[in-house]
Amino acid sequence: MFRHSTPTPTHQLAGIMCQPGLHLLACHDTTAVDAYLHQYAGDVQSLRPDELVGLVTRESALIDYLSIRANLFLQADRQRAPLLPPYFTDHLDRLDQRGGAVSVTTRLYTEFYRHILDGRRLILMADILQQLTTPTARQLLTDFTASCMQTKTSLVLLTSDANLLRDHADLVHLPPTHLWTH
Amino acid sequence: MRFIERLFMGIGYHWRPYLLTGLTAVLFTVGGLFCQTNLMIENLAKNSFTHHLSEFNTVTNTAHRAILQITNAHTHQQDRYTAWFWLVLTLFAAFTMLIAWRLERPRSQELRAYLQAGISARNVASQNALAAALSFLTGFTLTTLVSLLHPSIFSRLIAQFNRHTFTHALTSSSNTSIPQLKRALSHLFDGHITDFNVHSLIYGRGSAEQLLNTLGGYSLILAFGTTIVIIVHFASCYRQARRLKRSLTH
Repeated sequence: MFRHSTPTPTHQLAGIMCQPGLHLLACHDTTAVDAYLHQYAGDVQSLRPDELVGLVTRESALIDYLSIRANLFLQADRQRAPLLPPYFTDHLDRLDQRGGAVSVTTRLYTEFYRHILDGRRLILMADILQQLTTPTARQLLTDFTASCMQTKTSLVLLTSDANLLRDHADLVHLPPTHLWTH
Repeated sequence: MRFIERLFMGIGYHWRPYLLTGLTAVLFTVGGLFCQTNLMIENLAKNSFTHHLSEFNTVTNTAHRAILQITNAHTHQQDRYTAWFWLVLTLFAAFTMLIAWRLERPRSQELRAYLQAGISARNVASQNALAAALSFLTGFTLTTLVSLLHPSIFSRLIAQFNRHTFTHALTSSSNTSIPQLKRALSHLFDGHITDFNVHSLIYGRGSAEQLLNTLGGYSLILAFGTTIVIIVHFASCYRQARRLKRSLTH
């Protein structure tokens, strides 16, 4: 079911970055997800420039007093706006909402597309999808995967959700064995 | 997102600490102007005293004691106003540090968000430091404008205070009264024609005149205040950002 694990997070992520799209990293619980997320982010950022790696953690990373539009284009060029999904382009009013008053779905879309617009090559995401309904989570993953393929970005979703891992068995990786103490 | 837009929206969101910075700036400016104006009056009075004395060739023993007493009183007053100014400056710096420290908690989530979005710690710290500097400048400008509306009123009040404290310093140190001092110094005027009398020799000006018609020390207060606010807020935010950045990856 699972692909073979590689020696270090950096090696593993280097392999993943060669294959744009969605990847799942299997973790046994939410504590392990947080620990691995920081372990992987720290490991990869020590070797690669920060600009390449984006993080989507369990805590919101939106600036409360800025609109979603401003949050999306904090660093990015406005000319990259065509990369935004129908979630935003079909509901332009969402772009004018304040960052501190949005749903989890909007928060995830904003944080993910902020990294896409900013040109990140690798995005590490904690399993926040459990807070969403199944259809919403599925739509979100479809949008994210399509954008990843279009921009040649790799999205690594660290998750302990057995259903999600089963549904995407071909995309699942395991953390290197020496990290299993978490 | 442009830096300036972020700056003003951040000020609007954290309006309480920035309002407090503005109010602290008002108090600092009032205190600073008071000390600096007094110091300038004292410097002018001392210079005037030294200049007037140079017109006399011979000095008697009695007059010499009185001259020494006046010179000591001027030096004492200069030291006092300088110490007061440093005290005001220290209090302002302490309040600024307190505000910056109190701002750390409500700013934490926003700071983490900026860092995750790829904004550098230096950039966010600059934004916060500039926001605080703008608040300081607002408080300083308002106080300056009010003081410039009726400069003579404020300078007269300070001149009266200055003369009162100088007289007190002059008489309290040796229990000599002003009439006694005037008598001791009046011998200097024997056989001399001068454009000043014994009163203006002691005080540097006549009883209805002022040495300074405006307040002084604006540029010094602006320079010290802006520097303190920028350094404190930048250092506080930068340190917090570096700490948060480490916690994101370790």
